[in-house]
Amino acid sequence: MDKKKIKFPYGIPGHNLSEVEREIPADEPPAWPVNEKLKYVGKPVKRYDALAKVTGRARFTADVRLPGMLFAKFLRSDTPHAKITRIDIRRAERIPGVYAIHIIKDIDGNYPDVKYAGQAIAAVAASSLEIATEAVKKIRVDYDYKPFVVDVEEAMKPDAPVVFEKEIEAKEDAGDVGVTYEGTKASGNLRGPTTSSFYGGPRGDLDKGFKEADMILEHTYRTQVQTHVPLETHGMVVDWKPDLVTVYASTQNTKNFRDEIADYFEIPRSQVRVISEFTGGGFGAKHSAGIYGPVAAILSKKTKRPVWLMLDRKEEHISAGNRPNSIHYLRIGVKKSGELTAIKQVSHGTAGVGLGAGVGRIVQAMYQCPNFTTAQYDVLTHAGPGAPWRAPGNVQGAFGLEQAVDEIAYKLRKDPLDYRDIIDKSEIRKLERERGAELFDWDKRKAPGSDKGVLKKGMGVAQSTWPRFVHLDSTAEVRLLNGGGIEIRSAVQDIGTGTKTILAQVVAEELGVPIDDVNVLIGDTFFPNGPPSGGSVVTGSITPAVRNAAYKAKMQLLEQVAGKWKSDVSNLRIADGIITDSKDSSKSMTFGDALKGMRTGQIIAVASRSDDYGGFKQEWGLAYGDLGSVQFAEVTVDTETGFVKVDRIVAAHSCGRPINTAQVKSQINGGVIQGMSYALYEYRAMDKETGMMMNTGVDNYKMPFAMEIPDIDIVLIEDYGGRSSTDAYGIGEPANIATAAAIANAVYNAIGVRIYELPLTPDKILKALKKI
Amino acid sequence: MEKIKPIDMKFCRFLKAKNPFGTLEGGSNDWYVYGDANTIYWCVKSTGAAGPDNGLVDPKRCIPGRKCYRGRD
Repeated sequence: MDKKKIKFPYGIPGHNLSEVEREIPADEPPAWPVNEKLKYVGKPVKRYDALAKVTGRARFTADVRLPGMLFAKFLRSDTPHAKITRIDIRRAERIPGVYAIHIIKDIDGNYPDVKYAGQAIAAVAASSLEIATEAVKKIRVDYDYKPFVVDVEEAMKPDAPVVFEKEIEAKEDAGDVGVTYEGTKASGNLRGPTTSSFYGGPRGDLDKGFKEADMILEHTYRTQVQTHVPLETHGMVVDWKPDLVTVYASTQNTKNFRDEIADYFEIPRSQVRVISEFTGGGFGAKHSAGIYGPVAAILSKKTKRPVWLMLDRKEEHISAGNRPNSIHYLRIGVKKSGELTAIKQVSHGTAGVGLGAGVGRIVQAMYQCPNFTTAQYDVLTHAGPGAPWRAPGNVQGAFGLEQAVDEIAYKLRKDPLDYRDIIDKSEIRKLERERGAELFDWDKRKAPGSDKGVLKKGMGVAQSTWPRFVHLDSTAEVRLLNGGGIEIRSAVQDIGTGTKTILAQVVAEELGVPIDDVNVLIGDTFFPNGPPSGGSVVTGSITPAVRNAAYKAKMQLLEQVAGKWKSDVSNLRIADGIITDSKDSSKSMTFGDALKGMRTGQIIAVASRSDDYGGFKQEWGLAYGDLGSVQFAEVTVDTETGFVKVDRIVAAHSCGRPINTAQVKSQINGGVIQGMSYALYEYRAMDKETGMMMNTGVDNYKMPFAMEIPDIDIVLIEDYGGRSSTDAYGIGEPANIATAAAIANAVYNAIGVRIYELPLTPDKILKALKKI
Repeated sequence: MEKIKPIDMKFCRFLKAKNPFGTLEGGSNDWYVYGDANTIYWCVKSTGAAGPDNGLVDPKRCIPGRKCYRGRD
């Protein structure tokens, strides 16, 4: 591949901005200057689909209506552990309007073991949702009930009921009880530990590190299970036709959704089309087609009609995924200087019937510490499955780590910000601490618990790290249409974060045309693959692809114009929709006229995300640098009632080159609100006697309402690295990681007593104050 | 930092994984199952964390020898 060398902005404007030379593919565009010199990029451009959303014209998956469409409803288990002995559907089948009933079976044709309350057993398709719901109630299920365990600490006991009890029968058989092929013993509900990660895992000599310490801090931090509550629940509409299965999906990953449906039925992936025009939010649990995808498709195939299957809110809580809890032990060795000498981390958490309840990488990655070990265990319970959730594990990990660092700072009689300057080598977080502290008035912080009266104010800070990831399977197509029209096409979905808008901004900037001239067609697997909306990868992955495609299309168009003008294409410029020749001021043409004069009906250019300029840290897409954040919280604690009110958050963030500052701030607002809700309110309440989740409605699964949401001020730092043609990265994860820890540290500062468990509900506050 | 090496693929073709950074997608991106304690696993066929044989979906167990195992070829 031909290469060229060009210079890019490098560093932080107003701080250390300089230039860096990169060797890049010859067909990629020249470097953009910093945002202040651009017209659309870096500006708070209004959302591409704002009008459609506020007028209700936007059609979400739940709104899809097709001719002859049926509505489906699941029958779910009402017991957490059982063997199903019989399912009788005769009464349900007789209800007028019932078209099909699907009963889920295992590989032997038997009913699968029930492992949690809410597990799907069967589904009904009927002419209305009401009829489907009524039919589900008429299905009789006979169970052979079994003992169960939903509490993580109970589940760890040797005599606890076992979630997975499949006996290992042969040497290479992968059962859950017995001796595995590796010679290890498989039994009980404990799995792990995981002792490594993407970032090296154990290092140094832990014993030596603790011997070098002048002080050792040791605590166990606990976080709760939080369940997913996107505005739009999980679900889809499937229209099964022999030659093409069309799926309208509420998804964070159109490509994976397509692949799972195709793979389930073992049909070519080209025979499935997934469309996600609008998705009403997703925080990590909407990457899979779940069980609802295949079941809706089975019912559609069986009835030869489109089938609508959206979960209701209760189903969402009990079955659609959750953020696992954590029991997170940290032992940290510290020198008098503040230097960390050793960290020992042990965690236990439950993702219900599945794996993945670790506490992330933040403890091993954020601060300098030469001696480190981690052991992260999964504890299986008879409860709904965990799912990825906005910085999986790292929010739990940050709650422990950032309280520990805060406590160490106080013990060393150091300001928590000054202390972080000693142990944190991140340049960007140092600047975020400085700029955030100034906006927050950090210097007004008082000594812990020193406020007089019933209402006590407190200030706290916490920070986070998140890697810059790039998804290389990210492709965009740009079409210039004869007679007018600019189109962007990609399968990438917009889950409400504003992907359509940033694509339009980038293309308008590159083509030099008004942004309203750009049409964005995305969320359709008939278009080129886009990245999943997860891991904060979308902006960093798809914007360079679409800019590069736009650049290629533009150059083809300009070649044609230059030919007509007998000019050199390198002299042509486009600004505000006008093409000019910098060497001949008499030559001028609107972009629209240039499109009308094209030799062909369209120019199509396609580009995929290329490797980061300067290379990756890992060749599959881990970029250099991190997406740092520092968040400050101010709280008021009512020491009579125990209620905590978060008054203000200052969130200092960086995400490379921000493409749309309004949307970045909107993402940060969302992350902060979700983090505050996690800190104070949300938790899954399980009844140990029945194994059922007790708070499955919007009335008793507490989330903040408008008056509880704090003032949120944002410090957004442009951080240029010359890594791609847009130099942009994401913000979704970093916005959410530090909030709960910052609030917990502020509560400590308010009342002078530290609380090691989330959520910070009034009972915990009052207990800490020894008032109950 | 140690370079992550490709994993010797013996996983079942229906094993799916989503870690904090991405998704194992039909054999691509092997590294997504590289020892991370926050990786969620599920089976495309059973559509959940319990496999078609009622056993746990786990890369250590979704390998040849398991009744429901399906190779990639």
